[in-house]
Parts: sequence; structure tokens; C-alpha cells
Amino acid sequence: MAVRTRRTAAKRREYLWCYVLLLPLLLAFGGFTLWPIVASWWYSFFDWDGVGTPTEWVGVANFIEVLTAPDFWSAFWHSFLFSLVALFIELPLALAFAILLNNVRLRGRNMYRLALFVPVVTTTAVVGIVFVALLDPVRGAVNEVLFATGLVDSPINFLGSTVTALPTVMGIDLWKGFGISLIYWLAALQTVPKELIEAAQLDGARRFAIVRHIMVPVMAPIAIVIMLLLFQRSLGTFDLVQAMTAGGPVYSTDVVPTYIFRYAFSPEMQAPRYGFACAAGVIFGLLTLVLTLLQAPALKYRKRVAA
Amino acid sequence: MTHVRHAQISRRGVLTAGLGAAAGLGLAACGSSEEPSGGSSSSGSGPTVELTIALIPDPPGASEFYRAQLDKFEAANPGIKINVVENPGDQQLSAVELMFQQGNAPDIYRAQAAGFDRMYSRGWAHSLEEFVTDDFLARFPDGSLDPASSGLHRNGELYSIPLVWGRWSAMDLFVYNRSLLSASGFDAAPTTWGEIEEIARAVTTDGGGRIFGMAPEQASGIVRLSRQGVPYSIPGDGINLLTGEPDTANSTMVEAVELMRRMNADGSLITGWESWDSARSYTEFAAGSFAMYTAQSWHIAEIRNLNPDIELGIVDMPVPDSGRASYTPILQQFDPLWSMSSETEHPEEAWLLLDFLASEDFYRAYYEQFGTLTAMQSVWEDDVRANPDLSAVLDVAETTMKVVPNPKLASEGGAAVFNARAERPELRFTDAALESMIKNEEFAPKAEALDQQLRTFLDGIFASGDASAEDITFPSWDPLQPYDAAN
Amino acid sequence: MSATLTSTDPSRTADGMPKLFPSRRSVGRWRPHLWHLFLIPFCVLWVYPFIWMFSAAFKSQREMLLGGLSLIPEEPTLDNFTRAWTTAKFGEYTVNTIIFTVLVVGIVLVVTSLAGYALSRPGLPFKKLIIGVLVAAMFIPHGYTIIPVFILVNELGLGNSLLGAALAQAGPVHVVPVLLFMGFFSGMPSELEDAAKVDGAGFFRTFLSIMLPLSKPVIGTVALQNFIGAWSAFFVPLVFTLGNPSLRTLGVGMYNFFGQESTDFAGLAAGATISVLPTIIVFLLLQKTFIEGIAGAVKS
Repeated sequence: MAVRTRRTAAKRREYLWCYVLLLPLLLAFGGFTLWPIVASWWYSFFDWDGVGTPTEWVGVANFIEVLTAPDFWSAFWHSFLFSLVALFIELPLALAFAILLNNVRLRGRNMYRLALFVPVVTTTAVVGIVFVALLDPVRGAVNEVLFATGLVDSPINFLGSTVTALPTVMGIDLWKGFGISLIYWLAALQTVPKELIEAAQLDGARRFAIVRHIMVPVMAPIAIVIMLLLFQRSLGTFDLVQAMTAGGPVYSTDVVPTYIFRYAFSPEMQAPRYGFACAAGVIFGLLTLVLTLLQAPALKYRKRVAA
Repeated sequence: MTHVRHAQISRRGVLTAGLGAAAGLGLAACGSSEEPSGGSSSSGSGPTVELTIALIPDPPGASEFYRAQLDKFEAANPGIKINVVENPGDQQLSAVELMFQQGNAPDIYRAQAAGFDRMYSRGWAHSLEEFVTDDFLARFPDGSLDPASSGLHRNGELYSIPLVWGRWSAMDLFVYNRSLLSASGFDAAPTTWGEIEEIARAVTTDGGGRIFGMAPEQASGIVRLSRQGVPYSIPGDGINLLTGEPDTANSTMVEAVELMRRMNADGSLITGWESWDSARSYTEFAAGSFAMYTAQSWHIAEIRNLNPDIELGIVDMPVPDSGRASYTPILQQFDPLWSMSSETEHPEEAWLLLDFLASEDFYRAYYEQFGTLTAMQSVWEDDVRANPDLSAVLDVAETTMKVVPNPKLASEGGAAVFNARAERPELRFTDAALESMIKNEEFAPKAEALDQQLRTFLDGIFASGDASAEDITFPSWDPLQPYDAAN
Repeated sequence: MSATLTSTDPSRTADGMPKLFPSRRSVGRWRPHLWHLFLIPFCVLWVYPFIWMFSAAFKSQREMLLGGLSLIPEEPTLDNFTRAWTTAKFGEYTVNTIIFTVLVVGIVLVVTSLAGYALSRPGLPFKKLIIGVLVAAMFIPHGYTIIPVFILVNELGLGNSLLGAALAQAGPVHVVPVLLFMGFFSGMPSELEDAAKVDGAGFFRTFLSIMLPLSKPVIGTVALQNFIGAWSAFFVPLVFTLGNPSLRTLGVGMYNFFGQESTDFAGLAAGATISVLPTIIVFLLLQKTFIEGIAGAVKS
């Protein structure tokens, strides 16, 4: 009996310690996640310029304005396209390279990995500036080469035409994020247990069967996590667009985060519309949530496979 | 939201504790005479007042220039130390606002045009009436500091100090590269829109994909061209002050946009202009990549710096083929630029700094460094004619600018309409015009749609009773004559 | 699995993996070499923007203005670096960036490792609730939170400091690292702790001197991820240093420099080089840990 009480007391002391260790996290969570969310919901009901206390309650007017603004929806479409490119081009391409670079016999594979990863660790502003210079129609290296080799007879206006600007920025976004997907896939490939493949080979399983029955099921749960991470990241693309085009020309590269940024911090406006920006943010969040939930079947699959 | 000033105290750690405590309350409005005399041990020579000035380091080289000038000021005023906060032009306003919100406001800041109105409307500008002396007034031409038209006054009180000559920042210039034009067989600058188009096409054809006719400066080229043909308020705000009606679809306005659209479609506008800022315009012009554009006055000196030998022509803005119907507007005597923070703890010292920024020495130094015609005419009047570039600029200013009615100053209703309009940037013609140019779509339907939205907007304001149609209608105004407000 | 390991077993690849595609010897030997024909030009093209940037950093301003495709500067110069370092204050920005990054990584590591350890204790009341709330918050629409965060940091009196900016950057991002630490610590054998308890070590001592050192792989992963994020962060440092440019980080300074001096391309390239080199070096050094760490992370 006495031992038991001592045990419970010890346990209790341990739990107390646990809560002490949790304190920084809970404080940070309350201060930097919970309160900003609640505050920005609250602000979204005001006509407020971000200075002082919001006083002008406008109800759902901001939300109605966002939902009926064609510019918002076109920005959302662009954001969505960014995530489509990431999921359907970047991800498979990165997998192909990961398989290639996972081969230990390939000499210098670490150098290749480094080369493909360098854009990831580069400041976005630098990437933007360098590509703006390289792609310049007047004296950019890319057009000089195309011109000199006779591939084009007039310079391509990569970032200035509404037709090419969005694909160009998307291409650079892919280039910049490619390394992350590559590393994820490399990591995923390391989780495939060698023993399983070996055993299957001993059983005389064929190449396709091994891929189908061993590699796919083992890697699928990880692939789904990678997919979700990439989806969230690419939907929120901001820095690169802001640094390269700020949404132009004529909003043809505008994504939701740059759209919101313009309303919250634009120097051209007499007063910023922070309440409106918050409403746009809430709606964007809801749309993201819906799109993520649409992938729920995939998550279920992950659970089933994992079980 | 309370503005606790911890940050400021820690940052200005050299200040004495007494000063810090006063600052902590944000109430201390003491001048130098009231400084605690304990003195900071670090500086050694008596109490030091630190002032912060938030500025935009333009044009290139301004960063070093300001520091050198402020060093001079510090040398002349041993008790004052100046901290400089530099921001890029597109961040200055947000930055200063955030500094105010942090309780860390600069003592002097640069805010222009709508930016200044934004600061003033928040109560963050300090009236300068109490400091103004006769000596100060005497630096500017008679009558130019009249509260009704100076541009620096609000509610009859002086709130801002100018940097440049009023016409300098308001004027429309057309510049061209003489050698490129003559290489294509033109020995004179275009005087009409039709001639621009003809010359631009010829230069582009001869340029073989390397040299182009013109750069449009985003939509500002259209603004500058169009106000030679329609009242300035149409490209500015979409409203025709002659009628008080929305008039974006005005035929001359549409023609200005269509001109640019045609030139873009046939390749006469330099490829890639869509993503240019204005620094890029003068850089490429200096490099000879295109032949003409509608420049800003401060570009001239930059072009000369980059390419001293360029054969530069500076002329009046070309007019519509049907002839001139309007002029570049003179709305006010000066553009506001330097303001004092309403939260400064050292208004006396801050005024000394403002007084320095409005001194003959400073205006002359700025003029000599950057070739800018500064707000004090006497420092450049005598030798400006010796500089052919500036002489040409002055000629353009004299022949193409006229005083116009300013509804914002004329009545409260006018101010209400135009301030509300400024909060709705999407009602301006620029986005629609750029869309027409870049996507090669007709402008007239877009302009009519904008006019409808403007109509709804105006009706809303009139219905609220804040303004009436008369506040924005000036039927007696002849856009070809200088406007007399008394009339 | 070490890269130097050589296998004599023909049914395995060099890293000990069973050969997936057993085929004729010659082809098996040839294939990797053939790939170089594709990979080398591809990777050179991939990093061409960097090569171009490094070369521009050594060109004179005049040479940059005139253009030209040559990657080898006519008259190599270090002027651009001195100009970027002093006039454009990249020296100052570099120091700020280092401070900012270290603070962010430090805050994230402390907060998440403590919480991860606490949550890994079996039977802790409200454990599921806490984890559930943390995860749910990831999916709630956030609105536009920068101004509330800005107000909070100001109220804490950190409005004009790199610590404030670091808090804003590090504050909202802990869910994944917490789960990583939690997963790692709960996988530890309980004998370890029992042994520590027998030795008389308290709860916190056990964590600090035994558990934490063992979690190096997780620490490495979390640190590296946040290092990369913080080093190239743009938005948070932009907003938090708007009012005090002397606190700007490289990412923000770079952007502003471009706005102000867009004619000085050589100087820009030098500044860009300064800002990129440290991250490349860090990645070179930690590449292996990083991949393994992420592998562990995605697994759990």
C-alpha cells in the first residue's frame, strides 16, 4: 500500500513536470497561433486599416466582396494551378530523379543531389532577381542564346506577356522547390526494407510484382504525406511571385497571398484594407481546407495500408 | 492598443534615465532647454538629443548625400544627433506607419501626395505654424505659401516642407534620342500622337529587334499624353470637372489608350516593358535601347550620368492629332515632402532639422548634386540657363502647364469625393488600359464599364449628403486658360 | 548504409540493396555511366543561374551594363563585394541573419523538444486533447495573422528587435517537430530511464543528460529545416524590420537593394553570392544527416 502511494505520488510529480515542459509550447501556441487566428476572424468583420482599434463593423460585407471579386477567384485559380504543377509534374519528376540518385553505384551522386538541392536553400529574393535578369527580353542571357542560335527571331517576353508569365513563374517555382521533393523521395526510398525484396526474389517474384506488391504499399503512406505537404506549400506560394512579378502583368500571375498582401500593405491605396485582407485570408483558408479534405480518401488509404 | 515604449528606451540606451522615463510615458514634449543636465557619460560633451529621420534614398547616391548633409547639420548643432532610417519608396509609408504603431515614430519623415494625406488624417503630422519665421517665409516666392494653394497646408496650417520646385514634380516631359531618330530619317521630335506612332514604327523597323521606338512607363505615359487632350481629372480620377460626370470613355482618352495599344501590338513598344520600373526606363533609354518616352524630370540627370554623350532631346508632350485641348495641371505650389511627427519628443530640435532641410545651403547642395530644381528658386535661377538640359526642362514647364481648378481645395464636398475615390483604386483607368494594351483588347467597352461603376460610386456619395455634384463641376473653366479660383 | 561499403554479393547493389533489376552483367555495369551523359549537362543547366551570378559578382559594373554572355570576367574585380559589404550593408545584414536564424532555431528546438518529451510520457492526462488541438489548428483557416502577431510582439516590448522577429517566425510552426520529438522519445526503451532513476536522476535531469543527447537525429532534422526556413525567410523579417532597417536580414535587404539600386547589377550579384554561400556550405556539411533525419521523420 505504501509503495503504491509513493508510486502515485511519483507519477503525479512526473506529470507535473510534464506540464511544466509543455508550458512554453502552450504559451507559444496560444500567442502565435490561437490568438492571431481568432483576432483575424474578428478583424474580418470590420472596415479597418490596420491602425488603432477596429470600430467600423461591417458584418459579412467583406466576405461578400471577396466572394464576388473576379480578381480573387482568378488569383485562387492561379494558386490552385501552382499546386497542380507541384503534384503532377514536380512530384513524379522528383521521384524519377530520386530513384536514379539512390543508386550507390552512380558516382558523384552526392554532387548531383547538392546541385539539385541548392535552389531550395537560396533566398527567394535572390532567385527572383537572378531570373528576372536572365529572362530579360532586352539583354537577358536566355534570349541572347535563343537569338544567337536562331531559335527565335524576336525576343521572348517571358515575364511581360500574360501568356508566358504564369508558366514562367511556375517553372521557376518548380526549380526552386524540386530539391525538397527529391529529398523526401530519397528518404522514402530508404524505408523500403531490403529483406522483403530479398525474400520476394528468393520466391521468384518478378520485377513488376516486387514494385507492385512491395515498394508501392511500403512507400504509399509516405508518398501521401509528401503529397499533402507539397500541396499545402505550393498553394501558399508567395515570396517568389512577389519578388518576380508582384502579380503582374495585369494580374496574370496574381496568387491569393499576393492578392491579400496588396490589400493589407499596398502603398498605392489611401488606406490599407486590413479587414478585407483578413476576410480574404479566412476564405482562402476555408477553400484550402476543402481541397485538403477532398484528399481524405487518400488519407484513409494510408491508414489502411499502415494497419 | 497602448503604445508602450520599451523598445525605444532600449534602442536609445545612451539617453539618460530621466529622458528615458519621460519617453516611456510618451508625453514629454520638452525642448532642449528642458533637458535634464546630468548628461550621458558616453557622449561626454553635455546632453545630446537624438532625432530619427525616415527617408527614401532616391535618386541613386542619395544615401551618401543625406548622410553628408546631416553630418554638416550635426556639426552646426552640436547637441543633436541624427539617426537615418532608409526605406525603399514602395515601403516607406507602411514602414513609417508601423513605426508609429510600435511607439517608435521617427521625428521627421518623408511622405508625399496621398501618403502625406494618409499621415495627416491619422493625426501623425505636427503643425509647423508655431515655428515658422519671416526668414523662413522669405525663402519662397511671394504668395507661394498661401494656405489655400501651397499644397503644404491643411486646415490653414503649415504641415509639410517641400524638397523640389512645385512644377518639377508635376510636369510632363517628352524625351527622345536624336541620333536614333535621325538614323531613321526624322530630324525633329514628334509633336502629335500620330507622329509618335509613325516615328516609333520606323525606328523599330530599322532597329532589327534590338532597338525599339518607345517605352510606355506603364500607364503613366498615357496619363501624360492624355492630359494634353482632356482635363487632367479624367486620367487622374475618371471624372470630367467640366461636367462633373464620369468620363473615362471620353473619345480623346480612349484614343490615347488605343494609340499605346496599337504601338504595343505592332512591336513599337520595347519588349518586356510590362515588368519595368521607372529606373529601368531611364537606364535603357541611356543605353540606346529605345528612342523616346514620357520621362519624369529627375530622369534627365540620371540619363546624363549613365551616358554623358547621348544626344538627348527634351520637348513638350505631343498633343492629340486634333490639337491641344488641355494642359498639364498646376494643382498646388508645392508637393509636401518632409513632415514632423506628432509624437516627437523634441519638436524644437526637429524643427531645426526641418529648417535645415529647407535652407538655402541644402537646396543648393541638392540641386548641384542631382540636377534637380529644388523648392528654393533663387539657388538655381541664375545658372540654370547655362545647362542646356535644365534649360529645356524649364521651357517645357513654362509652355505646357496651367493652373487648374482643384476640387479638393475648393470645397469640403470636393475633398470628400476625391478622398473617397482614392480609396477605390480599382475605379481608375490604369488597370483597364494596361489590360487593353497587353492583351490587345478594345479599351472603349472597359472604359464604359468603369464609368458605370464610377456613376454608382458618385451617386452613393451624393446620396450620403457628404457632397453634391456642384462640388466637382467647374463649368466656367476653360482648360486652355489658367484657372482663376476667384472667378 | 555507408557509401564506402563494397559488396561482393552479385545479387546486391553496392549499398547492400538486393538488385531490383537483375540483368546481364555488362548492362548493369554500363547503365550508371550512361546516366552521367544526361545528368552532368542537366545539373550544369540546373545550377547555371548560380554560375551566372557568381561570375557577375566578379565583373566590373561597366561590363555588366554592356552585357555579353561570357562567364569569365574580362577583368575580375572584388570591388562589388566591398561595395555590397559596406555601402549596401550586406555585412550588417549577414550578422542580423545569423542572429535571427540562431534565435529561430534555438526557440523552436527548446520549445518542441521539451513538449515532445512531455507528450511522450505514457498515460499523461489530456495528452490526446493537446495533440488533437495542435493538429486541428493546422487546418483551421488562419485569416491574415501578421497584424495580430505584430501587435502581440509589440506588446511584449520586442517590437524593434531581432528577438521579436524571431519569435514571430518561430512561434507558429511547431506541430510537426513536436510530433517528431514525441515519436522519437516514445520509441526509447524504458530501461534507459529506469536506469537513470536508479542512479537518482530527477525527471528533468534524465531528459537533459540522457534523453536529449540521444535525440540528435531529430534535433539535426528540426534544426536544419528551420535553419533553411529562417535563413531565407522574407515576409516576417520584412514586416518586423520595416520600422528599423538596421535590423534587416539578407532576404529583405536583398529585395530592398534591388528596389533602390536596380542599375548596380554587379553589386547585386555580389550581395546575392554573400547571402547564398553560407547555406550551401551548411547543406554540404549536413547533407547526410538531413536526408536520414527526414527519412526518420516521414516514417513516423
